[in-house]
Parts: sequence; C-alpha cells; structure tokens
Amino acid sequence: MSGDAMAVKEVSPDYMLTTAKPAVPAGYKHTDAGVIPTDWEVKRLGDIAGFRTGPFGSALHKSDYVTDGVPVINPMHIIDGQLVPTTTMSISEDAAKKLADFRLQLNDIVIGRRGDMGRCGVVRSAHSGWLCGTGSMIVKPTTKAYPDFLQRILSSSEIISKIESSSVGSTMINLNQATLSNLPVQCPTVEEQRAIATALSDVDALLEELDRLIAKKRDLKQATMQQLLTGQTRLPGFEGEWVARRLSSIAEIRSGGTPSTSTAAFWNGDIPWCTPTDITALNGEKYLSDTDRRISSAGLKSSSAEIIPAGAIIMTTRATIGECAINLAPMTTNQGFKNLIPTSVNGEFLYYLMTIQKARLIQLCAGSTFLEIGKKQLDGFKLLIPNDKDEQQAIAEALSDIDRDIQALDRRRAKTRALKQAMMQELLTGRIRLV
Amino acid sequence: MAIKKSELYSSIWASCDALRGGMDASQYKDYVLFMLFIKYISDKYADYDGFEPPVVIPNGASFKDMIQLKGKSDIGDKINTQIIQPLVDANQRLARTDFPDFNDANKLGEGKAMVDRLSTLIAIFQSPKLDFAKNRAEHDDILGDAYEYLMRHFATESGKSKGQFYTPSEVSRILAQVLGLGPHNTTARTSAYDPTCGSGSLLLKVAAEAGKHITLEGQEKDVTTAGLARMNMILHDFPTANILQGDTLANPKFKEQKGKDGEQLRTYDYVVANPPFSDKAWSTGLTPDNDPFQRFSWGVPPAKQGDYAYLLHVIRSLNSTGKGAVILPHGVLFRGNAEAVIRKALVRSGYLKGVIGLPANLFYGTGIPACILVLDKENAQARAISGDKNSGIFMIDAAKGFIKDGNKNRLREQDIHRIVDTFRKQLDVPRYARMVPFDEIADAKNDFNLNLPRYIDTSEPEDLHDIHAHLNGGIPERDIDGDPAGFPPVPGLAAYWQVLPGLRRALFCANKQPGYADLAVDMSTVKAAILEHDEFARFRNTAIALFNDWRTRNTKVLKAFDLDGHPKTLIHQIGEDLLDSFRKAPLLDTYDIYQHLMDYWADTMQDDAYAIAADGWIAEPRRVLEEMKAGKKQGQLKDKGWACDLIPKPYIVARYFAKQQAELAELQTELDSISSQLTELEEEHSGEDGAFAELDKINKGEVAKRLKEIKGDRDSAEEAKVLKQWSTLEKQQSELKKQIKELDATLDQLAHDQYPKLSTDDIKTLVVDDKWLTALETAVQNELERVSQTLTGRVRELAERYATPLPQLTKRVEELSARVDEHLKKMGVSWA
Repeated sequence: MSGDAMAVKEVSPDYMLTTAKPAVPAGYKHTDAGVIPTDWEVKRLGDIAGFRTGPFGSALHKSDYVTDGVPVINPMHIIDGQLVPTTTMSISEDAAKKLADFRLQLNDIVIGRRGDMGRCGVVRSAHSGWLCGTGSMIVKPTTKAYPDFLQRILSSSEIISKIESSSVGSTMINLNQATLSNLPVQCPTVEEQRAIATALSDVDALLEELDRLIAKKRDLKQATMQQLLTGQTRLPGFEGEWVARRLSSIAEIRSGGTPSTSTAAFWNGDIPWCTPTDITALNGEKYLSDTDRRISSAGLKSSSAEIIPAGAIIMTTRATIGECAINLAPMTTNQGFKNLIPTSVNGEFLYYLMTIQKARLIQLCAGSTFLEIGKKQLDGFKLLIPNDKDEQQAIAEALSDIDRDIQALDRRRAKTRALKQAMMQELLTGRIRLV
Repeated sequence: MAIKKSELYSSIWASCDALRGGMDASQYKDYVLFMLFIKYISDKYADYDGFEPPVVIPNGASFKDMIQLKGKSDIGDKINTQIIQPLVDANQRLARTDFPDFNDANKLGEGKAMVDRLSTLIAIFQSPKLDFAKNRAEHDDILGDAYEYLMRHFATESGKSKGQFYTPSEVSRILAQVLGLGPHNTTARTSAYDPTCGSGSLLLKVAAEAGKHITLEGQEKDVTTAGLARMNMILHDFPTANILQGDTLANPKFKEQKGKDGEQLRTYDYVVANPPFSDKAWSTGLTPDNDPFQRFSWGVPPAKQGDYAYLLHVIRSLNSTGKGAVILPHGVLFRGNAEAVIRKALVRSGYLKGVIGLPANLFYGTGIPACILVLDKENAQARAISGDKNSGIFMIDAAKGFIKDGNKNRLREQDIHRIVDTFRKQLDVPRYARMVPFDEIADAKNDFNLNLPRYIDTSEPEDLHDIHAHLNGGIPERDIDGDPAGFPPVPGLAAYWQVLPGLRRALFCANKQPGYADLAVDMSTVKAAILEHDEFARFRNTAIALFNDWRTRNTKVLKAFDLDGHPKTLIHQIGEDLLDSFRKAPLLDTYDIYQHLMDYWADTMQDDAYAIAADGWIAEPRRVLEEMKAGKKQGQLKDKGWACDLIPKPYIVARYFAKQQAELAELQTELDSISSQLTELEEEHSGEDGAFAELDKINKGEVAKRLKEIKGDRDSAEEAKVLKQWSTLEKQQSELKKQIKELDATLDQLAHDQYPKLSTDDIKTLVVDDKWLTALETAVQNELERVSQTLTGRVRELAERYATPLPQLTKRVEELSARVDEHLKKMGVSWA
C-alpha cells in the first residue's frame, strides 16, 4: 500500500479538547479528572493508595468452604457500595489464616476486578478479617485519601468508563493493578473529602432507613389484611356474623378473548386490551389505568373479549393465578382473565379480599399445560364477607389508607434517590463546595 | 467385564438414534426393539438344551444368521423371509403382524441406503459391548429393563398422539404395590389382567410384585403395540403370558361360559389398567344400553368421555374378592351428570377402596394430572356403612411429591415409597392423606364429589404477621411455640422444641409484654448457639447412632453379596432397613434419608453391584482407550491412562498412600503460592513504564535476553532487579512442576500396582466401607446440617422481622431526613 492519498493523518491528541472544550469558569481548571476547583489536585490512584489482587482460584480448595465461616467477598457480594456476604460463600478460619495477606482491614476498599466495573465498598469494623475473593482486589487508601470519598469516586460513571477503556480481557473485563494505579483522581484536602463523604453517607443511610420503613409498613399491611379481611379483628361499631357468599352472587364474572392476530384491522384501535404482563408490571399496585396493547371495535366484535366497565377487578386465572387490579377505565382482557364486576359488594373491599385468596384459588385449578381456573369453579368460590356494606367500605378505606401511606413513602424514597444523584454530581466535582 | 447397566442403555439409544434419519420415532422403535428382541432370544434360547424352550429358534433364524446378511443387497427381504417368517412359524404366540417390514423402502431407504442402514443396525447389536451371553444377572433382567428404557425414550420422542402406549414405570410400580399382592398370597393360578395393556409393562410390574410366575392376560387395541407386548413378555421371561389384540370395550377377547348367563367376561384376582384418557370414541362398535356383559348397569358414561366405561369394564372383570387399580384423569372424581350418577353408585357399592392423586405432567403426551382409583371387592360392604366412622375411602393427595425431569415431572423413589406405605398402613398424615368417612362423602355438601381438595387441604399454612409486635417489638410466642388451636392454626417451631426444649430457653428470653419473646443471643450467633447446644449434640448423636446401627447391620449384608447375587434384592433389603431405622429419628424425614441411598444407588452403587454379581469381588485397573476424533491418527486408539470403576484411584491412594498424597498436596500448595507471587509481580510491573514494558511476551527466553541487554546498565538497575526476581521465581516454579509431575507419576504407578495385591477382604473394605458407606454417611451429615440450617433460618427471619418497631423506624427516618436537610442547606440550597 503506497500513495499519500491513502494515508490518514494522525489526529492531533488535542483535537477533542480544542473543539469540545467548554469554557471553564473562573476558579476551576480542566484536568484528567474533569473540571475541578483550582485548589483541588489531581493524583494518580497509585499515589494515594496501595493495591493487592485477590488470591488465586487454586489457593482456595473445595474443602475450605464451609457454611457460616469467614465470608469471602467477590464482586457479586458488593451491592450498592455495601458488602453483602452469602452464607455459602465462606471458608473455614483455618483456611483464612493461611491467606492472611488477603484478609480485609478496616477502611480498605474492596473492588471487583471482573465483570461489572465500579463495584466497590469500604470495609467497616464488622467486616474486618473477611477475605478478599479471587474476583476482587483490595485498595488501601493512604493518609492522603479518605476511604469513603475514594469509594464514591471509584464507583462513579466517569471512572468506570476510564477503567473500561483501558482494561484487558475480551469476554469479561479484567481490572489489573496497573490500570487502577494510573487512574486520575480529584483530591480536595482530606478534610473536604470527609465532609463530602459524610453528606453522601447520610443520604445513603436515609435511603436505607426508608427501605426498612417501607418494608415494615408492607409487613404491617399484610398483618392488617390478615386481621381485617378474615373478620378476626372488627372495626369499631360493626358486629354480626359474616356470611359465606358464592362469588357469582356478589359479582358478575366476565372473561376475555383475543381477536385474530392475523387481521390487522382488529388491532391498535382505541379499546385497551389487558394481558397478564400489564398486571405483573404494576408490581402490586392497586389501579390499572391503561394497557400496553389495544384492539379495535371490529376486533372486539370478532372475539369473545368483552368490555369490562371501570371499577371492576381484573384477575389473572391462567398460569399466573389470582393477580388482581382495579381498572380505572373501561377495558377488555385476553382469555387469561376472569374479571369481577361487583354487583352487591364494595368493589375495593372485594379487591382486597381477592388479593389474599391466591392459595385457595390455586386449589381450584385444573388444566393440562398450565394451571387455569374454570368459570364454574370460580362461580361457586365461597367468600366470607360482612353483610353490612358500610363495614365493607370501612375495611376497604382502612386498607386504602395504608396503601396510600406506602405509596407516599415510595415516592419519597424515589425523590431522595434523585436528590442523592444530584448531590453526587455537585459535590464530587466541586461545583458546590462544603467548605 | 460386565455390562454397565447405565452404559448399555444409553449406548443402544445413542447409536440407534443416530441411524434414525428422517423416520418417525414411533416407527423406528419397532426396528430397534425387534433387533434387541432377536439378540436376546438368540443369546438365551438358541442353544437351549432343556425340554421345550419357551421360544423356539429355528435353524438359520438366529442373530448369528442375521450377521451373515450384512452388506447383502437383498438384506431386507432376507430378514423378512429367513429370520422373521421361520420364527413366526415355529412359535404359535408370535404373529407376522408383531414385526415390522424390513424391506420397506419408504422407511428404510432404497437400495444401498437400506443395505447400509440395516447393516449398521445389526453391527450395533453385534458390538462386543453388548454381548449379553456373558450377562448372568438374569434375575435382574437387564435386557427387559433396557427394553423398557428404550420404550420410555421413544415415548418421550414420539410426542402427543403416540405417547399413550407407555405408563411411566414409577406409576406402574405404585399400582402394582397398592394391590397388596406378594409371594405369600399368590400361586401360579393367581390371575392378573390388563384390558388396555399397551406394551404390557403394567402387567409385568404386577407379576414382579407377586415374585413368581402368575397367569397374565392382556388385551391391546393397536396391532403393533400388541406385538411389542408379546415380545416384552418373552424378554421378561413370561413367554406364556397371553396377549390378544382387539378393542376391549367393543370386542373383549377374554370371556368364559357362565351357566345360564352365557358367555361373560372372564374374572380375575387382580386387574390393572391405564386406559386412554377421556377416550372420545369408546362407544364405537357397542350398544351400551344393551351390553351383553352388563357393564353399564350403574349408568352409561357420556359419549365423549370414556373414562368410566373402562373403569366399569375393570370392575366387571374382578372376581368376588378381586382387587384392581386404574389410572384415570382427575375429572372422574368431580365431573357431573351421568358420571356423577355412576360415581355415586361406585361409592355406595364400597368397591372403591382408595383414591391417590398424582402430580401433574407425569405422563408422556399429556400434562393433565391423573389419579389412581384403587378397587377391592373384598370387604366392600364395610366401606359404605352410614354412621360408621371406620367406613370410608382412603385418600392421598400426592400432587406435590415429584422432581422435574426435562419437561416432564417424575416421581422419586421416596415419593413412591411414601404413597405405598401411607396407603398400606392407612396413615393419617396432615396435608397429605386420611381416611375419609363414608358419611362425609355422602353429605349433601359433598354429594359424592371425590375431588381431593375437598377432603385434603394441601396448602402450606400462611405466615402470619403480628401488628402488636411490629409496633412494639418482640417476637410473637405464637410463631415460636405454635398455636394449634388458633385460627388459622400455627405450627410454629414446636416440633423442634419437643426434641430440644432447652434450646428454646437458650435462644429466647421473655419480653416485657406477655406473649412475646426476645432473642437471647446475638442475631449472628444463632447458628452457633444451636450447634453448640448440648441438646442439639444429643440429637445429632442419636441420628448418627441410628446410622451406625444400620451400618453395622448392613456392612455384613453388603460384604456377603457375591457372584450371582441379586442387586435388586440387595438394595431392597438395605433400603427398607434404612427406612425403618430412621423412622425413629426425631426431626428427620426418613424418606429424605432413603432418597439419598436410592440416588447413590442409581448413580454409582447399582453399577458396582451388577459388576460384583457378574465377576465377583474383583478390582482390576483397565486401560482407557479413546478413539482419536481428528488429526493424522484419526480412528486410532489413544491410551488415556488407566481406571477402575469399582475402586477408583482416590480410594486406593487414601488408604495406602496417604503419606505420598500429603507430600503431593504440600508441593501443590507451594506451587500455588509461587505462581501467585509470579502473577502479582507481573501485574505490578506490567504498566506502560513497568519492568516488563520492553518485553513482547513475558517468558523465560525474553526475560533472559533482556537481562543480558541491560547488564551493568545503571539506569536499568531497578528493571533488572525485578526481572531477576521473576527469573528466580520462574525457576522455582518449573522445578516444583517437575517434582509434582514425577511424584504424581510415582503415585499413579504405586496405586496401579496395588490392585493385584488386594485380597478379597481388602476389596470389600475399600468398596463397602471407604466408598459406599462413607458416601452415605456424608449424606446423613448433610441432612443433620439441614435441620440446623432450617431452624436458624426461621429464627433469624422472625428476629429480623420484629427487630425494629415502627415508631423507631419513623423516628430514625425523621432524624436522618433532618441531617440531609442540613447538608443541603450547607450546599446553599433554600426552600420554602
């Protein structure tokens, strides 16, 4: 190959910088670690931390593994910056003693070196003595780095893309010490690092506590349902025996159908058409307002699908049994449903009552390839309910309030997550300073 | 070398499948099964010198004669005329229609294609691997089992429409075993009948239960399948069984004169059946309203659902004390209309002794769940007395006991055993089985509907949450101790405390609120607290003592097993003993323990036992030769070392060469350490300006070359130091590798040479003590581990669930929220 025409001139390495370089505001500078305050430094990770690669696979033998021994931390055990060991992935104390060099010490950072990059967590006092797994590496911050700050940097998307572009390994990215050592890291004073890390840790703690609170409220909801929907605990002012009613005597049961999929004119009309995926996508939420697919009125006429008026209970009865939702708009469903239109029962109450019937509903099932509830069995399905409609409504309201409370907490958690994201973006780049 | 059962089956299957070409499995099976048949009868009866062989093989019609036909252009025709025809002529029980046409160009190909295919097929069965002549374990009937294995595979392959001719052998065994026949109550005159016998496997299972040659009769609608059944009977050493072809309902073949009633259905001591499910054409060719055999006096089944037609035929075919078992779809238990009327009459008659619900998806060709109806005409009246508590039908809902196997479900050994034990002893097992009184079935609420969920609730108890505890903390005592009287009843962990009452007190202490408790130990030490508790140690010792007792008893049994022994009898004996031993064990399910033995039997022990039955206690290393798959030497055999199946090398090494083994392990550890140092060094200095940066590749040659280059160069002193360090380590590494290789080879030779020195007693010790019983001991240990694991898991779950009460959580969230607000304010954000 010859001829100047074919040669491609090497692009100047500054090319990207000169064209895409944004204006740097006063008091900030452009560095390998991004735009940072002028009084921050950029250091190579190798200058502020030491490294140790996890032990060889062959250093651990099958016989070393025990349940509930010394936990071994592999990338799969580092989740959202936390070290989460499993009981099966642990070795005996004797085996761990032989691998003393690889045991974790307070304030080490464990980082995964295979697979997903950026999985890393700080070793707390409770984790001290655990073992760095074959798939992990230990980063030991020197006094120039605050471990929690460094951990935030190492799990940031900027660092992850730097690692990915310089790492070796074809099927799985494999991180080595050289790559790590060369990473540019922004370094405020240790004091400032600490302040930033503390602010972020507090948000994390809040998120974690919100998770626990939500879990607790869900448990409480379950406990409340077990009490209120069985009549074991009665709301004040209500008495009288509950009565057993056939489902068909308190609600009209309508099934669904599927228009021929080969006729395009039956599809993409304006009638919502519900499939089990729509219900599972709700993740336990109560109301279904829209569906993924729609059919036309011609499609409706051609099939056994029926319009279910708003406020009915849409319930899966094939393969996935007993998943329920209340539809907020009139819609149709496919044949994997039996839908309950309340005739002489409070709809919300019936919804809650059906959500705790899954085990009983499965008992009703027949069907060859998958479980399915027949119309006949469902008609005769007996439910114990209060005769007094006011009591039904009172129970439904109590449970709805719990649901609304949980939903509000869910939203608060989502908002806090977004807030954390924003705080990270501002604080780690020094765009907002805490000092 | 005896034939390994597992290998025999799979090798036949694999080679045949490769030859199948485009042919449908259901057609191809006829050819393969015929080959197996002719091979078997040739081996067994060709040189028969006794009086009247069960199968006559005319001169020139044996497998040896088939080998002569290989490669001949008219091979197909010759097999038809020189092998099959003489066989049919000489044996009254065989018919030409039993055999496939070997000259069918549509199936086997034209001209050379047919010659090649048939020749290869013969070659597969000619292979020395499949030399059945040396196979002595006649009692265990390897061939009959192979035949079944193939039928099972063909059934799996054939798919929906053609799968019905095969009942999974696990289900057949249950049927045979719930009938309650055995050597003690049968004679040669005892009769068994299957009106829809398919390939006859169900009848053979009944015969196997009887343990002797009872009279077998069966009818099958499909011509080829009836042929299969005849061959199957011969292969299983029941050449006198009578299999007739025809539609059982319209044209029953087994009849007898009954005085003034004229010709009636013959009646039997035992009747089994797996009729086609919900046969839509059952009434073709018969007038149910005017049935000459009075089968439909209780009512005529619906035209499109033949299930009760077959059941009524079975009932009619039972003699006055006859017993039966029929597999039918669940619909027979609850369907209405005509079937409800018949069902009512059936229950009232008292003939229905029991109903066993089976898991879904067990049968080939259909996923619907089936049940077994167990019939017994003896003591029928006692089962249908109103007002009598002991009168009723025994029901088992076994729908949950199975293992997934491909896209089908399969019953495990323990599932079969549990069903049969429970049925025979009529045990009351919560959520599984009970005797349902006649009055409960006849009650207006149930109105003779037999649907199992009405009588047996198999659902797991719901895990109840406690509002008070979520708000105030503390673990509800209801969850710890159980509350059998509650609504709904809560089992709790009561079963554990019965055995470990002190552990209950050690793990929990009183909470200030009555009815609640706190964890008395730290969450992370629950497991340790359980394991270290005296009572747990005692429990463990009890279980281990039970195992040791069993071991002592059965070591003798196992070591006494010898040449010509019966493996199936052996496993039955030690298995039953194990089941009985662990029935006494607290907190352990004896069926789980039993399953470990049966799994190990299927995996390993069975092959060993067959080898011992064939060759005696002989352990000899054999060369492992493998055919080269590619390269210049393709097709040649390559020596891959040696192996011994009965006593693999590790057992020899562990017992005789532990010292050498330890040395080897030590060297290996050293090598690992050096290797990891090397890698670490390479990683540390592999960066752009690291010591290895100048090398194309890090290896011995390159490093030496580079060291020479920079020798004496002061600027490169640092690099030289690293490279020298590398060289030293590399040298150590290769030295170690060499040592290990040598020692490994020595050890290999030592082990190899040890085999001829082994006495029979040595071999027995190695096989029985070191191999078999050690494996089982480990399995028992695992079960004990599981007990502590399950208890720990539940205790932790409860403790975590109620550890932090709601008010604390809410408060904590508010505190943290305030702190985050502080940070945000510091960041200069303000909000209203």
